[in-house]
Amino acid sequence: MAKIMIVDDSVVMRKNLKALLTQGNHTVVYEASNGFQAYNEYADHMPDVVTMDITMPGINGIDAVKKIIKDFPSAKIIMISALDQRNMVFDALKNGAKHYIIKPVTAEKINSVIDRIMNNEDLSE
Amino acid sequence: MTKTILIVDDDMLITTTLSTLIEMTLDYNVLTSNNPAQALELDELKQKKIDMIISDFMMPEMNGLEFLKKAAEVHPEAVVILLTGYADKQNAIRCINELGIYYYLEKPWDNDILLKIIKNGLEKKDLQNEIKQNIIELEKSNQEISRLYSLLENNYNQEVNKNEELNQWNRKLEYAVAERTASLRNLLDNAGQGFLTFDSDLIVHPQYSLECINIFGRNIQNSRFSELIFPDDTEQRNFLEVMLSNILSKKSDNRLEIYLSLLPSEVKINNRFIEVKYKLTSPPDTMDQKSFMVILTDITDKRNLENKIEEERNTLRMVVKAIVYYSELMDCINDYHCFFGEKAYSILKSSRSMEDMIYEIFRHVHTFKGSFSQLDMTGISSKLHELEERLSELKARHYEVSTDEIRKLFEKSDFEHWLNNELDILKNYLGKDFFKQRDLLFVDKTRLIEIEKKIISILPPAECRLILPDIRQLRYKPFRELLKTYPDYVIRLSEKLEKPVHDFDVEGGNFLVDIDKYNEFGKTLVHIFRNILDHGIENTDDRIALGKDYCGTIKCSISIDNKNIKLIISDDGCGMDPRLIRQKALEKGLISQEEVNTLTDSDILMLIFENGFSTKENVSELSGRGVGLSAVQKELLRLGGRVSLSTRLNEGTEFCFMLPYEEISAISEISITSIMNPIIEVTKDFILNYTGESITSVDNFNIEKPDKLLLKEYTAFINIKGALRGMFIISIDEKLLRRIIKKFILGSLDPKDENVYLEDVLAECSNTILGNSIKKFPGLENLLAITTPITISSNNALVKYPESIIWTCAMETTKGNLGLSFITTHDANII
Repeated sequence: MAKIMIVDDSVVMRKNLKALLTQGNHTVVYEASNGFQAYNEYADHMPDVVTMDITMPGINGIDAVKKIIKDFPSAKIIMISALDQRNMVFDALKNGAKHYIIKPVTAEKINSVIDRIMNNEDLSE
Repeated sequence: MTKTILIVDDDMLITTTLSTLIEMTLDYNVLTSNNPAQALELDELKQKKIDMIISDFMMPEMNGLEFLKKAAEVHPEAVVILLTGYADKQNAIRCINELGIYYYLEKPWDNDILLKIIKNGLEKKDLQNEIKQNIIELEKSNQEISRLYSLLENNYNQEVNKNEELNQWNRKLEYAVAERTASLRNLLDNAGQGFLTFDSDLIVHPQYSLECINIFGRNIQNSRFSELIFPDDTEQRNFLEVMLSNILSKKSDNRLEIYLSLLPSEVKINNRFIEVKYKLTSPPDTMDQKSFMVILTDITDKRNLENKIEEERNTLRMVVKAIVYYSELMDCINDYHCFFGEKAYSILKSSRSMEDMIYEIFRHVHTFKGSFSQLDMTGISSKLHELEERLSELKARHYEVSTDEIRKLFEKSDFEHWLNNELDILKNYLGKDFFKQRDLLFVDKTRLIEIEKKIISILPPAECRLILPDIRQLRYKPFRELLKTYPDYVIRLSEKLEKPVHDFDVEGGNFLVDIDKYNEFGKTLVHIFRNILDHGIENTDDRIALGKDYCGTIKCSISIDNKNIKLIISDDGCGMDPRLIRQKALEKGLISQEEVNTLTDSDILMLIFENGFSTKENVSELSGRGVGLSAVQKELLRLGGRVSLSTRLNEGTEFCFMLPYEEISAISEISITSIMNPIIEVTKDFILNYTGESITSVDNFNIEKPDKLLLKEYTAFINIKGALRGMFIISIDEKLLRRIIKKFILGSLDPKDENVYLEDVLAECSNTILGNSIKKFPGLENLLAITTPITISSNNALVKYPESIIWTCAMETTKGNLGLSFITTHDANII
């Protein structure tokens, strides 16, 4: 069971992710609607895992990852995107994200990724 | 009187192309010189017969600044344009301040812009004289106008004050405006642009938009604008301050335009790329006091993508040049190794003067820089440019330079690495065998095709047309190659059949085509030749009886006729009998009794290309199965070609094939179906998954091109940026959207709350659908980015996009309908 922070500009996605994660027996400790908020709230909640949308207005997901990783190098962040682009995945991982999930997100996908991350398995493929 | 322009550049290529360009388009006289010292000696310059001087900055003998200074002593009235080989604004400023040049341009320039600048510069010079005379009169009438204006304004205010009713109405209006302004401000804050203003003290005024805080990461009230823009770079900051105060202090200066163009238009703040736009305003109450409004836009995503595309483009250009100028590249690489491996050091060991030595090395580096940049190897040429800069510093103080200092400079420069970086990129594209043989170009054909595709998808069309022929001619072959085996084949076959025919050659057809495209068609032509020998050419005895040459004649010619390839194959045999064909076709059930009477002879002749048609009683080894000619027809259709027949009994038959001809520079555009089909497929799966509904389409998923788009109840828009620019739109009936929501939203949902989620769910759906489709766009998948979707409630709205093309596909389900659309500009490369 993990403490999770959800970062997504879409109300629906936050609601859905929360449902999926709760189903996997995880606790959602904070829901942020943009990258700034996520960064500002990180220290207060110290989540085990962050799920981060990539396309958000203002600072996008990748920049938010950079900001968080800079201050909290051990943060475990999962990117969520509809775009299946090699370079985007690469960019996210290069900047410190641990995993990348392509939408649509399913319970199996996200919970198995969280399990692996909690067991310290990095995405190496 | 015709104007005269003097062009000075050490690069002959530049002086020649420039002078040709100017003479052809502007009808001015052009003088050129590749040596500034010689240019100064020109009689035309001394006699002040030159109206404009265009000069390079970096020249080995004398730099542009020095040259222009000397030229200005002789002939100060000439208009001057400076070409700089790189973004060196400092030099440009020195020239502007010291010489008052008219314009500076960075290489490479855009020809149209250069021509416009030349024309404007010369016209401006003429106008300036006229203006001087007019200005005094103008000022007088200006004062008169301001006097009248203030009178009018007073009158107007009095009127308004008198009218109480109007006043009340005004207040209401103001209230409405205030409300609107609040929402507008909200909109602006979300649009992600920062607005700020300042005047001559450069201190930012207290009113600025919220986005400024995001951009600068702090409150910016009372900060100096120049310190905000260049927090760490003192030199740039000072330069900006000088420029701004120049602009703000001067009442009117014809150099204002130049100063404005020198303000930084893009800066990096907190690691983001920020676009900066300036608006110079003079508040009406203080006629003399000018102030700046600055609009800041965060363009980081756009810039990153553009950089990537630009990088890809540069790489492609380099790859094409490497293929086309293979031997020049190999020579250049060889010389480079030779010079930096050995020759440069032997120069340093020679007994020449230090100045000579540095000059000699400088000259070589300059040449290498030029050669590599002509091959579009920008990485190494910019490294060499830096080296050239260092050398020119050394040259300036040659009297105190030691050979050790130069050796050190060489040690710091990793020449091997500079070149290998470029060669690795080439190997990556062209295969590692590319550099194996010095005189033989070795590239895999599939790699060539891939490069070609990439060129078409990411280079602008005009450039494609220029470079495609270079790369295509490596792979393209003359059309006649398709037929090269047939003359021999026909002779052998004729011997076997004992129906002698004269030797024949294929006439014409030397133009180049993508031969792979026509190969299959070429193979099916065997059926035409077999039929000619089997059915067309008579037995020797029959030919003699008919009074014909006992030897048959077959002719074959190829030409280009009105954008078509025209291939004619003819014989002097027995011809075809339409009556016989009519009868056979009826027997075989290919036509009805009625059609026998209505079809014309030429219609009937075409039946020989139908599957299953043969007039021959017995199936022979050669023909008669009725498949051969239909195979030809099938290939023709695939290529978009057609065939016509003319025949006369006992005189012979002529087949005329027409195939669409594509010039070697033709671009086969991205077809809209290759974009829309993936989106349609993904949408079908998506809808099925979330509603259990199968999507159908009354017009079979046809993609329409309407003038305007009728939206359904809810619509989402997503912008696509990068190698393909456009907008994706998904518009959907509310009923269907509500079906999706039921499954899309996980966990419990109070039906009352459903309305809140309508737009948000559609946004998510459209993002997922487009995101999942992009990887199926041919060759573009990594060169595109999409923005966050915007969703609106759009019941029956009609949208129109000027200057754009709308592509749309309508679909239905039993629970409601939806439409997918893609909007592009007219110049997009899509058909």
